[in-house]
Amino acid sequence: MGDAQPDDRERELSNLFKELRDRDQENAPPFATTWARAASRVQQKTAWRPAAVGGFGLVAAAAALLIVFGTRDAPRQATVYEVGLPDPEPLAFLLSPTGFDAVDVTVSFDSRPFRYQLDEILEAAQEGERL
Amino acid sequence: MTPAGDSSEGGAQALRDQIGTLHAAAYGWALTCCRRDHHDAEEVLQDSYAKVMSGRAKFDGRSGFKTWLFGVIRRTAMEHRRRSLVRKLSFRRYQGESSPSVPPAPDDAASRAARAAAVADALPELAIRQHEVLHLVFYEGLSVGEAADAMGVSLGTARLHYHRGKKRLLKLLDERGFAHG
Repeated sequence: MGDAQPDDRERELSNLFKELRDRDQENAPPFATTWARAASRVQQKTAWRPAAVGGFGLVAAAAALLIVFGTRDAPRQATVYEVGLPDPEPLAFLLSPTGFDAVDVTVSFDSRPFRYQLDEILEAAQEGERL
Repeated sequence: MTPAGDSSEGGAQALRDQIGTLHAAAYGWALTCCRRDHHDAEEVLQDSYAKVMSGRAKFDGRSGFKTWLFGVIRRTAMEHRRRSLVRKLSFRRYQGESSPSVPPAPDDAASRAARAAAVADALPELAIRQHEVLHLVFYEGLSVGEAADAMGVSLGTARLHYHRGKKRLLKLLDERGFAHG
């Protein structure tokens, strides 16, 4: 093989591939069988797709409901600067013995009695100022 | 555009007929894309036909029908390879068709079968792109340019794989003792 010219080698490869092709064609599964199996795959896929889409829709709806109702009354946290206090500095001062810097201090409140708690916080802050 | 673009019942039948005429070539190509694993090749071919049937793969007439079908098979084989990597399934290495220890006489049927087996055995040792381009050129009789289209690569890249693949395959056949002729 080593002394052969490039053209001879190409011809040889062509012959080898031709022999391989002949053998593959003998071993190839019948077209009708392959086509029928492919058709059955398509049918299987189209059969489970509506169920999968429906299932996914139900799960998505359940997750959305869970998020809406789960977070509606959940406790929330915000820094004293974020809760909208007119002057957060007194509250920050009050909480400073706990070891936090004013910017790190967070207040926790439920959403429903938020206004009430905020009043309490403001009151405490004013008390602190008076002290 | 060929009837393959027609979605009517007659179009579906024409599509089936058109694929039927290419089935043997499609199977050979699927074998190449699956590193000559017969089981995988059948799976890939069924999946490719299913894609065509369901309309997930549509012939748009931008290339020849055969080139398009080969592209569908190549992509499907790649998906199969990715899936099997992800699943960490045991790789079914190509087995059988072992190369003969003694080079046979050149002209009898047993010799031809042994030579075909030797090529089949050597091809999976090439890089996949080299294997693909050699298949398309020598097995399918396409030009290197047409092979580049089917493989979805540039002509320069296909040429590079073609020359390197040819050299490597001849070397492997030399090592297996298949003398020129």
